[in-house]
Amino acid sequence: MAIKRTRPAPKLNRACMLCGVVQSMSQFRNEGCPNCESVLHFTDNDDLIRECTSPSFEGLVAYKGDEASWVARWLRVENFVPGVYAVRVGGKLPEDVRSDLYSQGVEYRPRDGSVRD
Amino acid sequence: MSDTETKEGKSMQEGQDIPVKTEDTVKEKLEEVKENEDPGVLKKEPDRSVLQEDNQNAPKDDEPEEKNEEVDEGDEGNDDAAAAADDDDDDDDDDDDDDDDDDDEDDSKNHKKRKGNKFLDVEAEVDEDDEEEEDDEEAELLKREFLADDQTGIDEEEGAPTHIKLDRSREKLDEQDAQALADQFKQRYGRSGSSRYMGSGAKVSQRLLLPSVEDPSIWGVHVRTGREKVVVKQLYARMFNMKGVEGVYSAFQRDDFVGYVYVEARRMDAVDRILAGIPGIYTSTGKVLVPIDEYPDLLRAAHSEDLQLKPGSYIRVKSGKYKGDLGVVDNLAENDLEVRVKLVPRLDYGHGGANSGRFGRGGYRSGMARPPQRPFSQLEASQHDPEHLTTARIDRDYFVYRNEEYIGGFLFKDINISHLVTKDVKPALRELTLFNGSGDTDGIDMQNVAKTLKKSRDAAITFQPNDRIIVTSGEQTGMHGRVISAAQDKIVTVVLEDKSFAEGKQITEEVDVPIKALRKVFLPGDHVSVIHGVHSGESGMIVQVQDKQVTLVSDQTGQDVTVFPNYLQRSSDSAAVSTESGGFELHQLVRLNSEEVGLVLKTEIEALTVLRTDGRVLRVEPEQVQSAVYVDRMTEKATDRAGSELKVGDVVKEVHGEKRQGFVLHIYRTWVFIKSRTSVENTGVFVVDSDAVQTVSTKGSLVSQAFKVPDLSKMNPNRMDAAASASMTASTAKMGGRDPSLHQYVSVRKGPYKGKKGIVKDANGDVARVEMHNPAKIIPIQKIDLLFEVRPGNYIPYEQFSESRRAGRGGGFGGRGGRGGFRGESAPRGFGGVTSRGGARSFGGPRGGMSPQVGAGSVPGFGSPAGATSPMWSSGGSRTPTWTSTGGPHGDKTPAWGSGGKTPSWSSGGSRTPAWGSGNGGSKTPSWNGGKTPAWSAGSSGGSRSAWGGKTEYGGSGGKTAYEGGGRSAWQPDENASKATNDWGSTPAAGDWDAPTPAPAPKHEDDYVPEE
Repeated sequence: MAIKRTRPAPKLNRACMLCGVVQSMSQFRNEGCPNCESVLHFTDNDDLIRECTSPSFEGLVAYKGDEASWVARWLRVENFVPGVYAVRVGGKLPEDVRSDLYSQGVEYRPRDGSVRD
Repeated sequence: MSDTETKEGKSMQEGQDIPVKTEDTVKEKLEEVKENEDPGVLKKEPDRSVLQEDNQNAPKDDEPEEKNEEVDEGDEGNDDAAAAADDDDDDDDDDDDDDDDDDDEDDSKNHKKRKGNKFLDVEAEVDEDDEEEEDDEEAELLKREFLADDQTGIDEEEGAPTHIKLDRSREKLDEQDAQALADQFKQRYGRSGSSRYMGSGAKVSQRLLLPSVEDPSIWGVHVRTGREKVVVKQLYARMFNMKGVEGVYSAFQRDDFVGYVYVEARRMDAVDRILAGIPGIYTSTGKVLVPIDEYPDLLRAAHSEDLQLKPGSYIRVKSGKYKGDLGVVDNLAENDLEVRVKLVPRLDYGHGGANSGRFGRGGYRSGMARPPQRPFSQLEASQHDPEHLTTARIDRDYFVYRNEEYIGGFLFKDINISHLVTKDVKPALRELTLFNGSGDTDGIDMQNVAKTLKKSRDAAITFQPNDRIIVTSGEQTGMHGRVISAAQDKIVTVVLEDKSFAEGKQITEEVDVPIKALRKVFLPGDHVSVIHGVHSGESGMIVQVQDKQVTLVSDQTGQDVTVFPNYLQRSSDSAAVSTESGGFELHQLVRLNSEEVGLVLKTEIEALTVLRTDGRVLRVEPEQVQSAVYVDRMTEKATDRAGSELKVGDVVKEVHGEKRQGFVLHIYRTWVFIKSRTSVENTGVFVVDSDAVQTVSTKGSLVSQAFKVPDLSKMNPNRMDAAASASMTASTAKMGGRDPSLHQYVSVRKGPYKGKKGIVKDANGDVARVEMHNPAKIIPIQKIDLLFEVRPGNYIPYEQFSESRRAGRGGGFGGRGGRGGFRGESAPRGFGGVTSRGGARSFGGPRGGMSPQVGAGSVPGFGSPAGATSPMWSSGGSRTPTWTSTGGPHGDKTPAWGSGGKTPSWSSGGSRTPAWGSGNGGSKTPSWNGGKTPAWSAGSSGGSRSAWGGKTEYGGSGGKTAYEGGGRSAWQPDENASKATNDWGSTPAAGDWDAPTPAPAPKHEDDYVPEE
């Protein structure tokens, strides 16, 4: 069973603010975000990548894609593709993107640690 | 929403697919797990109406699928062409199922696939349109309806309830806002990847996600520090490529837990397997099973204090031109990654010359002196660098200069948050005043400052009993009181005085208050010392008390100092003046600019008082000082007026003016910084030129007037001006030389050693160090107290001795004076021959100005006995400085001393002359110039021995002529001193030596001849 997963890039230098996946800038540019591409269209949109992905993130998590993982559930990435995710992603999505997401019915939960519940 | 869809879709599919269920064990397992977890984890109310959901579900089964297939085809092109198309389809379908619902089954897949094939042609068309007009919502809408109709047909076949639902939903659809519809469709259609966004339940509280015993375990693995991320990536790769590690679900790393990587897995052997052989893992230390209740701490996202930046927060710039500078957050970018910061500009307005372009590039090279912080000046910018001043909206004080914005004199700059220090920024009051100085704002926001400083303040503030305080927060806010005790760390016991009551019946109560809720209260007139902050250590009297700041006049600087009241402590004594400020010490030489140096007279907290070399005293800030002047004590030297060496620590005295006396603190070039103990001005420090002082004593010992080291200033041709050379004759008289009393036999005529005899071993000015015969020790005795033995048993007092010596100077070479002459002794007290040094130099032949001295009258007496038996040393021409010999070679083997009448050389006429001609035969050789070297000693050549060494008499028959003795005494004094003395001791009178005649008369020769 071939599983689609993000390639571990040598330079993992940006994290998606929505799903937290960590990829290189060029991966975002060429392939988009493996999870959020349907709502955030990163591909070939450098401005959007810059706005919606963050170079400041912390805590690297390698997620196999198995929903049994508590770690993934806790980080709310259990529905996402296997990949490397960040525990904390600095920054928040811009307001217009947020409202866009809201209209698409996607709930945005900042991953910068500012949300507590 | 996705969850509701998920459940809905699941139920529908199950309803459809149960009969056709096939076995895929892995998938089933997955599904079971999912089903087990779903109820607990994902409990949500549907967002939308059932109808709407149905409506959404209806197309969902088909259209995403179609879309997916289309995309899959596209993917095939990208993927390996070798891969079978069917396999790809299957795989991708799997993926889609996983992504969509994670509980699809094979039959549903097949079902879908069949549908996909069935509509393949239509789909292809539609999808192409889709791609082209993805953003065109209308088109989508049309397509949507078309497809929905299509789908409806299928559904209708399946059952009536769905049919009714769909009818209703269609009505609903019509009612819906077109925009909302478009959004929904866009959401569905917009995805370009094979997956759609499946954000997990964002609304689920994290509490519900807390781990339970059902969850996998987490093991902590010790890895080499710095390798954590690499290990995580390697583990990620292994999760898919390795067999037997299925039990591993995730691996992660946190920056806060240095040296650890955590692996989430059900079974430990899987962890062992996946870790095996990865470099950088410390297997020996083993794994740590993390307790379940600590899981959330491992993955807590919030270390949010670094994210608490708000407009008004203080930051520091980490790098670049403004490195270390304080900034105020003006605004935050929406994504919290960039901060608009207000800074005090550092501009040189193009004065940096070639370097000025660096600002345009935004770069700043370290090591380059950066301009000081100053508000932006439109005037300067327009004067010096107008081409870069692009925009000016003067009304708002807004400028753009070199692509940077300046508002109100401040630079507003967008800086990435990673280039800022946001934590623990403690602004100094000086920096705040910079922001305050030219600001449009209403001054320092003390509230903000206090907040920023709270942490550091808490640590440093101490409360003492009897401190007056006011409570600033809590129930007792505003109450005044007095500290009773401060026994605990951060809690003090205070007595509150309720001022609302009358004085007489004041109610007091003791309460414990945390110190951060307290502020000290001072009154004008209190004498306090600062215990914290940049002014720490200063003390002074309070002159003004505002709400949260206290101004005091510093005892040390006399300046107003404004501090927070909690930084103060009541004290009666004034703090000691600091001896250091900004890294500069008291009495340190500092460089003020490229030309000026100064001596630090006073150090204050933020000011230095500096005495410049021109005598001016100025106050500078430590920042204005370029650098300290690091002087080497060994090179820090000059010459005083008399030409003697001047070193740090010497006691000197001004020659003119106030004749101040002091010791040398520093010497910079010719300026001497002197600290006087008697003067009060500038704490006794003054600066003079080294020519204007005279050494009183060198470090440690008195400077004798008589004994002088060579006049260094005269040795330096650069310092020898015309006047000096004119008076050189006189000055050369002072030239040092061998003391005449050296090695003399003496008898003490005064003092405790009266009558004792000894030998002068050392002479220094007026004092001779005499080695007594008995007791055998060396005693310093005034020369005046000595009797000198001129011949055995015949003593003359020092005065006479020195007189004779002075006279001897004029005497011939052969005389005792010759020694003096050759030694060039200085003897300021009266050995002052006319040209002692000149005499010495005359041997060098005419050399510039030297020879005239010699020729001028007193030819150093080579005028020797012209007796027949003696070689003719006499200078026939008395004025010639040379060794003119009147006769030819005397005797076969006697070297002749230069016969060439006017040649300055020693060229000998004698053909056999062994040495003088050859060894030093160059007629103009200056080698004879070595007035101080006993060059005449035997060693220099064989001939010299015969000539001067005394073994061969001049003139053969002369036997022990005067020359011999003279030669000995003159050239080999150490060896033959006693003998020479004996020889000469018979000289009847010193007066004989006095003869000023250049060429002693022959009759004198008798005197030279020893008795024998």
